[in-house]
Amino acid sequence: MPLVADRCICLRKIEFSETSQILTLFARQGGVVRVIAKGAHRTTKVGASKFGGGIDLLDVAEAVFSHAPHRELPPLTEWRLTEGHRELRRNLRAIYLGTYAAELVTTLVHEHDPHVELFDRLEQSLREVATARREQAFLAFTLDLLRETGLMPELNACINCGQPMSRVARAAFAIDRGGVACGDCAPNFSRRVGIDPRLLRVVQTILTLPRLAGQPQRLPGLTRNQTDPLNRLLAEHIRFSSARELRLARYILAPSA
Amino acid sequence: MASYTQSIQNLINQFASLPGIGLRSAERIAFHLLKQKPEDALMLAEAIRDVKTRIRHCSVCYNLSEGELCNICSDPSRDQTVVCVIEQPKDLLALETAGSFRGVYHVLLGRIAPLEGMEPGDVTIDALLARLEQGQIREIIMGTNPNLEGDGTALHIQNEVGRRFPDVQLTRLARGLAAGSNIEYANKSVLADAISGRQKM
Repeated sequence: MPLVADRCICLRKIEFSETSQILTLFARQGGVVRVIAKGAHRTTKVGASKFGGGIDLLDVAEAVFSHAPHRELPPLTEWRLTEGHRELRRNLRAIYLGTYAAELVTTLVHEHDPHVELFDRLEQSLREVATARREQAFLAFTLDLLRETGLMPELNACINCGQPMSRVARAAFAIDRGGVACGDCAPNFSRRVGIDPRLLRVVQTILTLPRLAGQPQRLPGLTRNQTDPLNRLLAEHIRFSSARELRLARYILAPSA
Repeated sequence: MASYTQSIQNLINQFASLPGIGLRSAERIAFHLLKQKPEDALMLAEAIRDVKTRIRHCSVCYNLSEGELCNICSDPSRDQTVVCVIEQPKDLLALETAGSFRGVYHVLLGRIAPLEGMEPGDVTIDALLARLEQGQIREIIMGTNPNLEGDGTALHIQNEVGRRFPDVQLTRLARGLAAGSNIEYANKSVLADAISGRQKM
């Protein structure tokens, strides 16, 4: 079985047996992969360990694992930690946003489907959610994830009459149609959530920002009053599109989080 | 093909379902028990029955106990004003082995792990807040595991306690290099923690 070296972010971990872990990794070149880290928690008296004493959620590392798409759980053989997110761990909101970003990637990206730019965006976003720019950074990442996976909803113009959102006073998001409707057309859609059209313009601004190495530049500062309705809308859209429950959505939308 | 009788196979399956025991080990244990005298073998069954019928959670700290209160909560020499919050009873045993903590504990019986469906209501945070209501506690030491979920749980408790009991001091177990370890084997996170948490000599 050939070995592959790749930069990885840990999206999910399950403690397995006494010392091992089953991991869902987002590999930069290889996409989402599931591996087993045998003896991850095993350390010698002097602290030597194959995987630094255990692999944690959101850890970024240079990893080596067997390339075996046909095999259910190829073994992880090396894990050299490059980013342990010390700052992120000091803020509960940052932890929830980072974990939610990982959940979204696990939900929307297929196994062994490479997304190099998305990997870079996630790595950068995990750094940014540890800062005061966390709200806008997380929203921008979610939008990029949807665009990259082909699930971007229509947020620019009414899905019924085509009227641009820049010209409407009221709007709603039609969940089962994956797009926004103007105030006049919204009653045609039973499964809908109201949204302030000004927030949709914020989305358009973010999507058209200049980019440097794939990262959006000069993200506008946003508060939770602005991002919560958008995060709620996008969570509904992702839930409907993927037919999967998002466990972290409730946490990031809670007023106290 | 010859196979085990149903009762032997059942015993093997039961052992094999235990953590760290594979099918071969389960077979060895089962045959060891078969070779033992009935009274010796049945002592194992009695021990399992005992532990499942007599062990319960301490009504104060949720440690494992055979009575209403665990040994630590009922010990008058322990400092009841300092509470170390931990995830599992086995963490308590590990801390007790160190022998340097003379306060009492609060066992959460888990940690907040949203990805695994463990929510704040699934751990004993409400019971901790109820203990704080009594006004006796002056310090809470967060002893949850130093991983993302443990840190998240500690921050969640910090928010709850800080909001409702602002006079209670909140501290976190120190993190960094383990005694007896080598710096060259420590990972980047551990070294960063060790440097930021350095102490005056």
